[in-house]
Amino acid sequence: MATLELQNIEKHFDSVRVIQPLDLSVVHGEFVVFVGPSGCGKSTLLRMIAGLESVSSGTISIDGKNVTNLPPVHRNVAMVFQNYALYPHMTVEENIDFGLRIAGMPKAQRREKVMEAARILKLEAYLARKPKALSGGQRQRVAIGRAIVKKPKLFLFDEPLSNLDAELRFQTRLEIAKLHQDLDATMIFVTHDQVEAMTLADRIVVLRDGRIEQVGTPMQIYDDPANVFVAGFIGSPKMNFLDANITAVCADRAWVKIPTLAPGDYECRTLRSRPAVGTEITVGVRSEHIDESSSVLGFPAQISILERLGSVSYAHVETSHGARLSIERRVQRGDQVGNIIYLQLMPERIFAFAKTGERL
Amino acid sequence: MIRTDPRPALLARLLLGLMVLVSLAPLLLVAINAFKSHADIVENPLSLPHSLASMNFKAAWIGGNFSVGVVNSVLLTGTTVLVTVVFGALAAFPLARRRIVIWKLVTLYFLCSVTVPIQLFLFPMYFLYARLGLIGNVFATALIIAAINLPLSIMLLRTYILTIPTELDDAAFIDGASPWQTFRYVILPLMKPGCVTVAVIVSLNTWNEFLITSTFQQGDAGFTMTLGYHAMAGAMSPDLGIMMAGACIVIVPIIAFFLFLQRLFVDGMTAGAVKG
Amino acid sequence: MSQIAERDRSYLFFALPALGLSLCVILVPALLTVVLAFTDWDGVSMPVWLGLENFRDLLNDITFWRAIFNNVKWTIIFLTVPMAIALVVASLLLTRRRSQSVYQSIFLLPYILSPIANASIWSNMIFDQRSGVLGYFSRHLLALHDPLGHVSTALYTVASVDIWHFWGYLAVVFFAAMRQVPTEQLEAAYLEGAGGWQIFRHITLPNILPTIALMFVMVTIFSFLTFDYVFLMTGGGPAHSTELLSTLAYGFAFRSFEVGKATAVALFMSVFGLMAAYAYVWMSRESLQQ
Repeated sequence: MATLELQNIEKHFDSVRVIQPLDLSVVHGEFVVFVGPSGCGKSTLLRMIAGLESVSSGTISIDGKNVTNLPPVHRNVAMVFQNYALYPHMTVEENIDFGLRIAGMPKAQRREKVMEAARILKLEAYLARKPKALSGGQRQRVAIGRAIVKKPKLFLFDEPLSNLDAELRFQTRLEIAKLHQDLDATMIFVTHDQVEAMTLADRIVVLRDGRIEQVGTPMQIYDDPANVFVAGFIGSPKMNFLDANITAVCADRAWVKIPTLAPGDYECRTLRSRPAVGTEITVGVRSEHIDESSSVLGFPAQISILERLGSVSYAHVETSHGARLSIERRVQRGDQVGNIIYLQLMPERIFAFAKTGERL
Repeated sequence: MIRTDPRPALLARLLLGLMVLVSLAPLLLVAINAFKSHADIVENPLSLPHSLASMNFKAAWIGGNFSVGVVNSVLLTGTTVLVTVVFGALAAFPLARRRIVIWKLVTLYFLCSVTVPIQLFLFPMYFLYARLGLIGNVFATALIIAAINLPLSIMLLRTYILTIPTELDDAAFIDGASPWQTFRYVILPLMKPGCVTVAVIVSLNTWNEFLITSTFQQGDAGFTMTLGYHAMAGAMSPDLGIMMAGACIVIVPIIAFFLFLQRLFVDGMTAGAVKG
Repeated sequence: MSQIAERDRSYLFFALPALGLSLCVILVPALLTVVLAFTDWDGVSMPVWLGLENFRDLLNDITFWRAIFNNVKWTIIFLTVPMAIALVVASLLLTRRRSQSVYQSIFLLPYILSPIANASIWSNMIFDQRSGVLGYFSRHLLALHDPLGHVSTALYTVASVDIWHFWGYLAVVFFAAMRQVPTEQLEAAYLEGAGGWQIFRHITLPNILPTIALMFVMVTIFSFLTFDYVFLMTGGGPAHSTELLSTLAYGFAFRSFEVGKATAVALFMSVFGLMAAYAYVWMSRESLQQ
């Protein structure tokens, strides 16, 4: 049975439809990440699952029970907030203990549970402190402690890493991943950062304007994007997009003409369908999938900006016909800005998208 | 720090000094004349007293019926503050969180009632209280003064609650807290400074309040300190020394209270008026 | 009804005590006042319906017009004198880094004192012809007439006392507003070569304009409601030269027991107040929008 089942979920704010009717299933023990640009509705969706926002129509079920109209406490969910939402006037122990206290649990039992959570998160030394005496990472752990002490069916994380600096974000990401393994818990994690999505998720749900654009494992999303938006959103730097049209189609591949690159046709072997010859399309190829080759096999491009990061560098190039591409290079070469290099596109890595966005 | 030209600085000092003099001069007059006999005052109101004799103060205390007045003032102020802070904090909560459908209307109502002249409801209230025999009842009068102070207090407490992030409400809700539990365990403790500020401002307003107090606290037994002084000043205009001593008795507690809690007074006074 | 919506409904109970008290003490009596304005009532027997007669009587009563005129004079006085003094003093205070709070406290002293105490001090200790400071000066230096006893000076005298009481509050409010002007703006102007007055005019003043506007409205509202100082120092006299709408209403209600007329005057006061209230609400509109 799915731990979480969303059926036909819709949300209006006044007359604005914020979440289009959508369905989603999450199985037990899964780590699902909702990712998308600001305003895509990912936080709203999370809050609806939590019970902080009402549902305009549709049902939410947790472990088979319809919880659509129930408050969070009856849904057995716990949430970790972006700004930690720790009660500033209570100690760490009181913060973690609060939910149990409201539920009427006797003091001795509460103490036991709090100590257990504190042990898991290495917070024993801080129990008597107030949040303002803690660092950002410690506060986040208290917020997580507050969640795990309830032994919820579902953990919800609302952009918990956004407020941490880069170093801390990296560390806390690992801690959350480890927590997931240790607790074998079902977790839903919201972020706008596609790196967090890729590294933490068992499955990613890409959202835009209240609609699910694609659901899949990180590698599925990466290797097999359903549309232009998903292809461009996941992967850094952003995928290169060029206008093109189809010149020939056969069983499992097509040839396209890309006017802004050098003349000649390019082979594309990632088709899912059989589009008609002459269709105007958008071609997408990731910067890591553009190879350097010889002047015989490749097309020329001039380096306009070179970004060196140590182990990897990004060359931003321009062709004489007006295409602008970013390419990733793992091997250091002695190139300078202004040099001409020769590039080749890999047929298994070129994606074709209709002008309306869907993958062809 | 932007450097200022020394000449205007001197002018500034002079002007400020002048304003200090203007502000303090009448109070100094009260202070020195409270220790003089009436004859001495008439002869020269500006002269320093011969001695710090206290007979004016004793006479003023009795004449102004201050033993009764203190009790009434404290009861009146205390009750008003209690009602205002409790009702105000409770009401500010849903208004700050926009939790009730009619929050706009209620907020509008309170905003408008700040501007209502007391005279608009004074007269019917007076005659109603008279019918009910509540004239002179400190607690009944406190309710009226509380009602007048509620709008500004609610607005102030509301802006205070607005500084508490709504995420805390959400966290409490997920923890299973009812609205009352959220208010009691999360919001109220964090509102304490705001409540204290309101208490201070309302205390000042109530202690000094004249129109309502004089209308509703008629009868010697119901007199507050200020009313007691007023009655004495009216009846005893001939003896200025005693009157000034009485003024001292009325003023000194307020000044002490104010100097002790200045920070809170200023915060409360400027909170509503200055944005940000 | 979902439990979430029920939660929202229970929040209503929080507002009930305050709303209840306010409605009972202010709204309901206010509505009664509106009705009473059309009657003749002495406070004891049954009210008699008069229609618009109270209003006609008032409009024909020269004292009424004098009261309105005095209220207008009062408003103009208060919108200019204390505001100007407060603005000047507040900007001077900005330059006195270390002694700011001492000055602030001193200037606030008259404001925190009871009007009864203040009025008594000024009436008896200062203005009194026999035993006050003015009397002393009259005898030894310059013969000065009693400012409170003369028709031409009475209103201005009482206004001065209220200004003495009130300007400190304005100064503190303006001072707080000025301190919140972003220092970057001041520094940018200074770097561009602006002098003290220019900085004040082009940077400080525009930044505190909302506060000034709010004080403007507040002063206007309270000028039409003002009661204490006039009542305590002159009672409306001499010869109605200090009569204000508030004292007029008070007199009708508690001296001549014409409660209908009193409430009619109160209605007039409210009209002016309402216009200012509209401005006040409009300026506070963000608190309604959030």
